[in-house]
Amino acid sequence: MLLQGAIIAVSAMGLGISVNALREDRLSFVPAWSSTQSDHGTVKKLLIPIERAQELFFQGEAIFVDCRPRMLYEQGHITGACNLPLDSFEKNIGSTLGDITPRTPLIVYLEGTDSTPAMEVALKLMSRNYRKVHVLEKGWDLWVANELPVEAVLFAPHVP
Amino acid sequence: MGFIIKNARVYTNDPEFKRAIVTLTAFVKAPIYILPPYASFYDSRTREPAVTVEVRAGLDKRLTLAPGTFSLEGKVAYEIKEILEGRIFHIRFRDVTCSLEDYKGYLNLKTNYPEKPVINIRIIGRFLVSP
Repeated sequence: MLLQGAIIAVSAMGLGISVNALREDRLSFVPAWSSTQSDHGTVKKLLIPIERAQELFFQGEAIFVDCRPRMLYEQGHITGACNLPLDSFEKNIGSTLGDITPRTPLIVYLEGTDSTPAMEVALKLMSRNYRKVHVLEKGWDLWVANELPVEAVLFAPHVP
Repeated sequence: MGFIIKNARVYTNDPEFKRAIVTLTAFVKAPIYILPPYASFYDSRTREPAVTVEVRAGLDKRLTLAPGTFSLEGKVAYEIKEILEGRIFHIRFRDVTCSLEDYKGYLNLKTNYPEKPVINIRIIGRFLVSP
C-alpha cells in the first residue's frame, strides 16, 4: 500500500516536472525576485552596515563587488574588489565571479546613498545561487568617508 | 572630480512600469587628479610594503611636482616617479614602521599650475580591526 502510494507520488512529481518543462511560461523552482518584493522590505535584510562590511574586509572573508562603470572603478575602488558593472552584468558575470563559490559572502556596492540599484544586482546574484549576498549601505561614498582601504588601476606604460 | 554617477528612483502611474531608476553620469574636470583619493596601508597580516598613488595632469599643459610638507616623516617614506612626462606621476609610499599603531597624515606637493598650486595626498595607516 505504502509502496503504491510512493510510486503514485513520484509519478505525479515526474509528470508535473515534465509538463512544466514543456510549458512556454514555465514556473521557476526558485521564486524569482522582483523589485516589488524590495518595496515590501524583503530585501532590506540585504543591507550591511559599514561596520560589519569593514570587519569582513579585514578578516578577508568577503568579496567586494563594485558595480560601477569601469572608469569609476579604475579611478578608485575598495581594495581587492572586482568590477561587475551594472550595464554589463550578464556579459561579465561568468568571467568576474566564475571562480567564486556560492557560499562566499559577496558585498555589492555602488555610489551614492540610494541602495536600490545595488539591491537589483544583489537579487540577480541571488537568483544565480549566490547565497550570502549583501549590499553595502551607502556604498563607495561611505567607505571613502571612513577612509577605509582603497586602490586604483594605475597607468602602466607600454614597454615594447 | 572625475566621473561621478548619481541615481534617482522615480515612480510612475504606469501599472506595467511602476518604478525606474534615472542615472546621471557626469565628468567633473579638475586641474589635477589623484587616484585613488588617498593612500591606505592596512592589516598587518597582509600588509603591503608599499602603495602607489597616481597624480594626473588634467590640463593641456605640462605638470611639474615638487615636494612640500610631509607629516609622516619616520613612519612613511615616499618617492615621486614621473611615468609619462609632464602628465602622469606615481607617488610610491612605503610603510617604514613595524608597529601596529594607526596613523593618519598627508603629503603636500607643490605644482606649477596656478589653478592648483598645492595638492594634498592623504595617507592612512589602519592596522587594527575594530572590535
